[in-house]
Amino acid sequence: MELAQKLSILADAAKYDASCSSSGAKRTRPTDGFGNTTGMGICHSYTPDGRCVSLLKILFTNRCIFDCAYCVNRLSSNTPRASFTVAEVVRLTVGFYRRNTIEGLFLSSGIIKSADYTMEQLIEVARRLREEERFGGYIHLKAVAGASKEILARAAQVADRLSANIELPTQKDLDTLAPAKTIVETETTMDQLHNISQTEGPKKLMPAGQSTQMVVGATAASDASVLDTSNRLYTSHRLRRVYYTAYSPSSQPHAALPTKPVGLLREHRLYQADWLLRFYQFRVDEIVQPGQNLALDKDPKLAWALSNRAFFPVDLNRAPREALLRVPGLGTTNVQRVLSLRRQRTVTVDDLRHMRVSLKKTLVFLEIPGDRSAVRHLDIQSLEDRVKPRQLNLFATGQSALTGQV
Amino acid sequence: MRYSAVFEPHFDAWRDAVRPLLALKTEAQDIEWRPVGSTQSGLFAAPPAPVTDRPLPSMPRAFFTLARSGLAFDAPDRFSLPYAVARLVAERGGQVLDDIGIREVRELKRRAKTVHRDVHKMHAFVRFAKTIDDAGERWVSWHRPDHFIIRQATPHFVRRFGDMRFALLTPKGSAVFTPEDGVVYGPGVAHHISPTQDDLDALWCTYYASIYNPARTLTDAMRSEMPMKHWGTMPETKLIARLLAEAPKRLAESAARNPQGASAVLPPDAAPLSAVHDAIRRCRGCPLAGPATHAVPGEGPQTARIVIVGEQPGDCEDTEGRPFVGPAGRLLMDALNAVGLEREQVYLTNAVKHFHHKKQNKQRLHERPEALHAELCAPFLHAELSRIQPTVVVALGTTAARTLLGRAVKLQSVYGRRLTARGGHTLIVGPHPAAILRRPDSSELRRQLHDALLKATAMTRSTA
Repeated sequence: MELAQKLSILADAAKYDASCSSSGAKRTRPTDGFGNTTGMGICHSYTPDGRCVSLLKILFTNRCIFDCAYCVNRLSSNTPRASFTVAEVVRLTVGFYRRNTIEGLFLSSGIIKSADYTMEQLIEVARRLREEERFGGYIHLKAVAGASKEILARAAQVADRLSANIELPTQKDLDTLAPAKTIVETETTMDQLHNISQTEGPKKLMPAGQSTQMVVGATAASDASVLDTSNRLYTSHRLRRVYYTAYSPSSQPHAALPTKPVGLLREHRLYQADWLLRFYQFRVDEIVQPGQNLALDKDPKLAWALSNRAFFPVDLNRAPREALLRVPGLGTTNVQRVLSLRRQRTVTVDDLRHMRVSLKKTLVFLEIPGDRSAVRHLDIQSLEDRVKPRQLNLFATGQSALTGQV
Repeated sequence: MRYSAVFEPHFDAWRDAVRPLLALKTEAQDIEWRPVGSTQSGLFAAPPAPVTDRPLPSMPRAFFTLARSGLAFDAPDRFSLPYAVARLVAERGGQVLDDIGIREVRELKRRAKTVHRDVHKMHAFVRFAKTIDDAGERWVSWHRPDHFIIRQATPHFVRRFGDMRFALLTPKGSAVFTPEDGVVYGPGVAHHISPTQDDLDALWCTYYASIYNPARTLTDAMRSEMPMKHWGTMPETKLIARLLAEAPKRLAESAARNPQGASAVLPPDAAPLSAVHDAIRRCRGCPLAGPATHAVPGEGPQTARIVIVGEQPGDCEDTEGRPFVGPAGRLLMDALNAVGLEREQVYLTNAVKHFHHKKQNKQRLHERPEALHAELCAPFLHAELSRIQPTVVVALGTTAARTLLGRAVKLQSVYGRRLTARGGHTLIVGPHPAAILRRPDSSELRRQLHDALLKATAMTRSTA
């Protein structure tokens, strides 16, 4: 098979993995080589569906011994199959990188023979890139759940990031759609990776940490159980990122799955809620009740504010950082700006305007000298209509994996 | 006192030029900015700032970071605005940089942010083309930034591609790098010279085309993040028009490979029977919809106690859009009359709502619907039954029986038996009237059809 044809099949097969980021790692160029990672991602192109192209994201092979219902590459799917050789992946990565079209490689794979055997192939690609090509760019490898500790440790030597996909939020969901997988096995792999990354040594192993992905909407699992699982992964395995991907019927659907795609809006709200957990000091039970889904018509921070009006108004010039972070429309960056500015003088409505804060949404929750928005509107019935967006920004849904500022 | 500041038009030279002016506390409006290479006349120029022994004000690092970016912004006052802010910092301390209430600070921050974005886009969209000269590989790029960012943007490429000989050409300055001699900055290059492309450029385009999902199109997002002025140097952008034009076809192909069936248009459970009929007429959820003339929903009173389910519409039914109006329909009407029923008393429908056929010469020949078609269409039949709640359902032929039972059955073994359909309805199976028409010796089948209808009628009486 021609290389172009393989690339076409194995890039198409990899697009269901949501992770595109190349950020979070710093790696300087090997003195006799090329490529570095800057710590912040670069999108080198955009596809007509508005998505960022940052990495060469491909599968090593789309042949697979598993038959997971939600996956386009499952054993029983009649999708065309292809496999790269190690040399081909190395050549593509180096060639694209030198042309400045990518930040690096995200290599995943169907499972061939065994977890360890599959990972050996991925590690060999990364090893050749690092040792023979002297490549210092970003490498993200898929960690196959159940791979041995020795194999994982070798992967951590060469990769910036490893990700074992949790796939679905609960074991019950996995039993329905991916009977070969268990949450316990995936979390064991995550745990081992975390321990490996903590090993003392001459260089930092997998500096961009671990990420994972959860498919949303393939089963009846609620947003609350999705976020509970995320929260556990962040706290017990120190994951850097959980990616959510709205289930979309793949080109080879399985009879057990819903045929309507789950809205991108649900995915967007989950990213916002995820940001609240990680950067805004919210707890899961504050954002969503057990068994419930997030509201689609407003962001989760606004929803919290509307049902906790007693918490407001927050004094813009005196409240602690944690309280300011709970004000709808004030993101982490602007809260930092307010804190710096108020050390010098009183912060006013004009200052918020200069920061491009949405005043309509924000002022009713704030106490600011000379402004009576909160006094007038905070306690009225129609507050929700006042602050809720009239139109939902669908562009935002395409960007929410990158920035979840709320 | 009015002074002139003469310097190379980049940040490091500007910084050296303004140090004595800051020490003298010269105000911004009293300085003539004379960057080397500008077209201003040298006549009547103010004298250069005198050498001073006053201590130079020390500036916080944050100021230099901000001014370095802000000064790259393409504006007539690109040199004087950072100076005005420098004066504020010298007089009032570094914290003024946090005060966005001050117009100059706000404007310099806005400019710095714009410049950061411009630098970031240059890091992203510069494309190196490989050329070969006597000394080996040389990588050449041409890019069009909005601002004077060549000195801000180049170090990133040096850190990354320090083993390559490369050139960054832009209309607002250029940089040439070799591992031996480092960076040499030079004048701008106005036009793009497009180098030849090799197989990896073609493979890059293959990659780009393969990762685009035609089901999602957000070209506004794409254009805002990847402005069209950069497209000339990015080979993959030549594919965009074609990818967008082909998207409907690719979607249709994927829909044909991946039929959604009835569920794509099925109304909610609370919707009335008429909504189900409308949905059936709208459905394009499987390959049968395309060649057919009409979709054929069921017909009859919603209060009917008996629902009769055939296989699929035939040639006449497809033309008229009504069930059982062809030869097989007439045979069924005779059979109904024979057990004392009128057409208007029963609800007539089919397991599959579109006519599956092949064209031969000018004729349309009936083809049995495949199991997939019946499976995709089944939600419509169940939706009809859930609205009508009949006492008994009569399935005529193997397709109807399989759809209602959820499994394949041998017809001879189930004829006339009281069964339970998926969804709980009582079910009687009989032969399809079209099979009777096709069979030369049909008396046994006719008897079984009569028997099935008779049993169904008896059930409606016993429960009435």
